[in-house]
Amino acid sequence: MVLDRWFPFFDMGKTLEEMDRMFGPMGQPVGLRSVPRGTFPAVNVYEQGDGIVLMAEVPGVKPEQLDLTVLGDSVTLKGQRQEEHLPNGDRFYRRERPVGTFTRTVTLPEAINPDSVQAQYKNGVLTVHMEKAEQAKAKKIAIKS
Amino acid sequence: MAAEQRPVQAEQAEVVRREEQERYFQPATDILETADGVTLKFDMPGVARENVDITVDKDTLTIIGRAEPEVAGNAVYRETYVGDYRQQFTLSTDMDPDNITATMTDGILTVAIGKAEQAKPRKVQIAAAT
Repeated sequence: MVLDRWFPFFDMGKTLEEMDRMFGPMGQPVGLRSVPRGTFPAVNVYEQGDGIVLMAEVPGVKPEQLDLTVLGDSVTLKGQRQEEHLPNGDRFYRRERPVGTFTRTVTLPEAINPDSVQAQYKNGVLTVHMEKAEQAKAKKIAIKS
Repeated sequence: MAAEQRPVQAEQAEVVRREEQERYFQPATDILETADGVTLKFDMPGVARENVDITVDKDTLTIIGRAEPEVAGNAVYRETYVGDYRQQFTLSTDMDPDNITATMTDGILTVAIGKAEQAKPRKVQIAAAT
């Protein structure tokens, strides 16, 4: 069929990866895209005063298939995205969505209080709210006159 | 003088308007051909069912998913940006634009497009020799 033939843009991702390697961290803020392209799931970490919010894009993974563990200042997210069973004769023209098991560990800017972790799953996005551990919180110091 | 300046201003307005256009992200896509049609799957995390627009204009299929706004706060580590998704396909004449169904679950949009009658595989009956 038509799409069976070699399609030049499939090599595009490889070229971009190569460029990332060549130019390295030059001119790039540290920490930005420090993981290889296509890392699944993509994770963002936000700081909100005394709270830390982790956001992971895990479309199609049921909450009960996700395993979230917290230790000190690191969060580990494990899970699996099921590969579909293909009936005979069906064929992929394009396949970009990653499948399989994944494990991601993210180091947070501060240690957190493990009792404060609250995770919520909605529309394929996992949002984890955490509070910083007491010793990591900013403290206001009264100045004596 | 004022008349001379007008085209310049018009051009600047055009530039500003283009910059204001929204950014769209291309969702990761699977395209699967089955016996009766083509199934498209899009990873659109953060998009609710009611925020998906699927339109067919002549032979162009446009899919737009509006994502929910990003978490407030200062991003200290970032691998992805949050934004709306957009993808466009040209349907071949082998596809039936009147036969499109879509479902949205857990951030995955599945669009099934039926094949037109003339494109479906058919069995040829062999007439018995007389």
